Amino acid sequence: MTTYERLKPLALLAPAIALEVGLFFVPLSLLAIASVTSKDSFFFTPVWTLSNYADIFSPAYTFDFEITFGLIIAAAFLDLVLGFPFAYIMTRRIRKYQDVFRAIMLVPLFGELYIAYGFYYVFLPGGPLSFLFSSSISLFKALYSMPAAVVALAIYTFPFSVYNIGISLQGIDRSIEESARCLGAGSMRTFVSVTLPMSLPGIIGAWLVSIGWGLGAFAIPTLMGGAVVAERMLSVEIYSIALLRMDFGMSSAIGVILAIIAVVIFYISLRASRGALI
Amino acid sequence: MKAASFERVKDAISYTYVLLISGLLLLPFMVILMRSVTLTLPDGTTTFSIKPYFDIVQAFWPKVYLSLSIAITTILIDTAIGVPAAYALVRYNFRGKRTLFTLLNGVWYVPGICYALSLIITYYFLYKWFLGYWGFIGAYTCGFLLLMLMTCIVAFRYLDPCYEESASCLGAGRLTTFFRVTLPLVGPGVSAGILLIFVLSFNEFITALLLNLATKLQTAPVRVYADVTRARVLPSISAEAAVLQLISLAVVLIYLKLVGTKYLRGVILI
Amino acid sequence: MTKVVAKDISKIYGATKAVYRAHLEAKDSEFVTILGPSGCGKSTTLRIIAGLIRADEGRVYFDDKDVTDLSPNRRNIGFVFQRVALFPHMNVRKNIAFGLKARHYSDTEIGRKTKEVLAIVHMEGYEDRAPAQLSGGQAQRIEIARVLATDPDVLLFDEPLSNIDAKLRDELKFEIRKIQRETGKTMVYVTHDQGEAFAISDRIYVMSQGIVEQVGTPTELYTDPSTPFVASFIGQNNFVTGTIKAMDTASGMGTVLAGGIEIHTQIPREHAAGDKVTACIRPEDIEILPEARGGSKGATTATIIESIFLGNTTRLHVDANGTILKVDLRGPERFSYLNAAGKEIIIDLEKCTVIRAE
Repeated sequence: MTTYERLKPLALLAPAIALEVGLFFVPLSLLAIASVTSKDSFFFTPVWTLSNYADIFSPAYTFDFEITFGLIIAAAFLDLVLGFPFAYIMTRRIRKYQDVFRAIMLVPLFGELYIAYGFYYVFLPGGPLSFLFSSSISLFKALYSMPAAVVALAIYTFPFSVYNIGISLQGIDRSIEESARCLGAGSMRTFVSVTLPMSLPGIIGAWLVSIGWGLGAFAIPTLMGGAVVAERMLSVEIYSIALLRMDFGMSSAIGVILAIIAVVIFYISLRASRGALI
Repeated sequence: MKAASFERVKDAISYTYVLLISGLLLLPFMVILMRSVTLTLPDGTTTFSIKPYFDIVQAFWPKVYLSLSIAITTILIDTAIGVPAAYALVRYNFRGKRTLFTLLNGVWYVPGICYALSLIITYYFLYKWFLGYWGFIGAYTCGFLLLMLMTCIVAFRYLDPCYEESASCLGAGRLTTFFRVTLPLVGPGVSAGILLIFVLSFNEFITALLLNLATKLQTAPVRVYADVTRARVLPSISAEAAVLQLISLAVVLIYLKLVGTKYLRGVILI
Repeated sequence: MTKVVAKDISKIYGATKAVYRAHLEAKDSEFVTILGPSGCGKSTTLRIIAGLIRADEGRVYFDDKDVTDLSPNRRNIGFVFQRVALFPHMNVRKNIAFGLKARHYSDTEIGRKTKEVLAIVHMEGYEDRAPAQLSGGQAQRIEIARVLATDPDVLLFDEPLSNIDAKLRDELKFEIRKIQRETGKTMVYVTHDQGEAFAISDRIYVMSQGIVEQVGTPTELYTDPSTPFVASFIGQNNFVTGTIKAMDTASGMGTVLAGGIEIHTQIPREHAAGDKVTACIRPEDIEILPEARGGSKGATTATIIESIFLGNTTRLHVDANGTILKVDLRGPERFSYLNAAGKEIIIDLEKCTVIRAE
């Protein structure tokens, strides 16, 4: 192979690589560097410190982690509970209108913002679900509360979760289930001892993917979670600490931690489900 | 007989469940639409009215225009970068290809807010000229390149090399082959990437929020957010959100009508 | 009307030699076929001649012009693929016009040429069809029309009939031959089907595992295989390995002792007494001798183990001193051996070919 030929693919890839390096790897590196500076000294004369990380790992931030992961993990479980039957039905039972339902799955992509805002309206007096609440007091609590945020977050991450489970279910060779049936197992038993165990990697992957995407949620905690969640959710803190307190160092440190957790989670889910992440 | 009706019951339950869940997914959006056309009159009653939409035109339209402009520019750049890159990844084999692809994937694994913060820091510190319109373009082209890459990779995989080889043997040079054979056959796949990038960049919020504070440029979703945090309940704010949704929905529906879901399969969520 | 020479072509992928030191020549207007099983390197060789693959070693010449460094679009070739490669987004007319447009033909010329080539392949009137509306055979005909339209110097066909139904395959291969004769274009054809190659080729290159085993006319390959591979790939063969017991260099006749059998036959001059050789004899070349000849030189006794009636042939499995041989009987005598298991017969193995042992 001549050098010219070896260079051809690289030439085609060069713009993409340049873009990624310049606008992804460089920024992330700067983020990491900023995380070990104090306050906004990064932009002037850097004051190097590990105190940001020390703070994160100190009890001061334990509650924040609890709130953040509590919310996200709860939403992930809700996704599994609602999503598994959905995926099962879509891959096994429903043939017609598949395209329609697939298109509907694209809708939450439109924006976390609208989910948050729309749900806000759902719980308002006069809204569609207001009949569930007897008094304005409990309504208010419902509006600004963890449960509401969990439901909203679950809806936001629902498509990603269902997609993973769906891929996993489709990957199960039908003939395995059919042989179980031929060997005398009823559909319930087939499901419990064949389908479920075989889709377990996909389920775990889906659960992890929900968590991964939940880490990036911003509008939902801000608009819906109530004061507690809005203030203590890690993703929102990155914003508020940086731009309201001007402490870029701290904010970057939280950002680095969240990014690492997210990457690890996605990596594990990729291994677990051998499926796609998006 | 019993088995047949049991099957029908199962079918009924299945459809009902799927419809319920779909309803739940669509609920927030439907509510916004409903609220945007519900005016509360002074006497407390509510009525249907599209007046809120007219109220917001003056202030909101420039923001929509900005969002559209950013989205389209992002699409153009990402297409120009992504199509050749995807071609190289599918048609050539070289060492480190897998690692390169995994690295290119990286953007999606990092939470939006972390990436947005890193960009702000970088813009302030290094790319000072990006503190403006091009800051948005830089962020979005990098963040969404993967979408174009994935759809194009799928499209190129579907494309049998024999067509390009055939064109070459018939006497067509590289450029002619690309424009008359490759592109038409891969076009639908590329269009799927265009659709996804449009929907996601048009509605992108987190990076836009941070950039708004840094550049004073306000895209439409950020405007909606600002209005919501200021004065939550007005129908006019719902109208703003509804406009954005309707535009996105229209683009998606037109695309699905023209091309279908074929090229989205295996790429994102379908 | 061009001579094609592929000189010492090699193509190596990692540790695998896809093609190794292959030398191929197709004279002006000749129909040359590369024949071999899948994976033998025939398609790779053809693609190197076309310019779709770059060889690691060797050169390609069209009429003394070195084209090795030219890309396919500069070689003026007509390449037909195994899969139908008609552009799905263009109708037949546009497909045929594609190559002509690339060469800047005028619209009137394109129209004329299109009619001309469609007539050659008997597909007049199909100009406005879409490729998806064509059957496999029709599509392949249009493909041939498309490559003929550009008036190439060399035709290169890569297993064009593999995906066509058997009956149509029969028809089409003769049509391809006819077109080649009438247009006088040099053809390099690739196939794994021995019958197809024999029916239409002037000369055949037999390849196996990247190497050219033998080249010759169909008759030469059949009667004088020079390697064990060719002997087993072309037609059916019995193989027995042994040594040359004695040889008369003047007449070329000798005796081979193999598998407990003494075979009295022609031995190629490059061998000498004591050489290890393989004797190949075709089932249809083994003669059954009348009992009177038993004991004479060249006669071997054998017992029939099994007799299978195949319609136009009766196949016998016989045991000759411990070696199992297949014997095919054609003609009326095949009916005489229908239930002949256990019978003792005398066979003559003189028509065997002796080649070097593997």
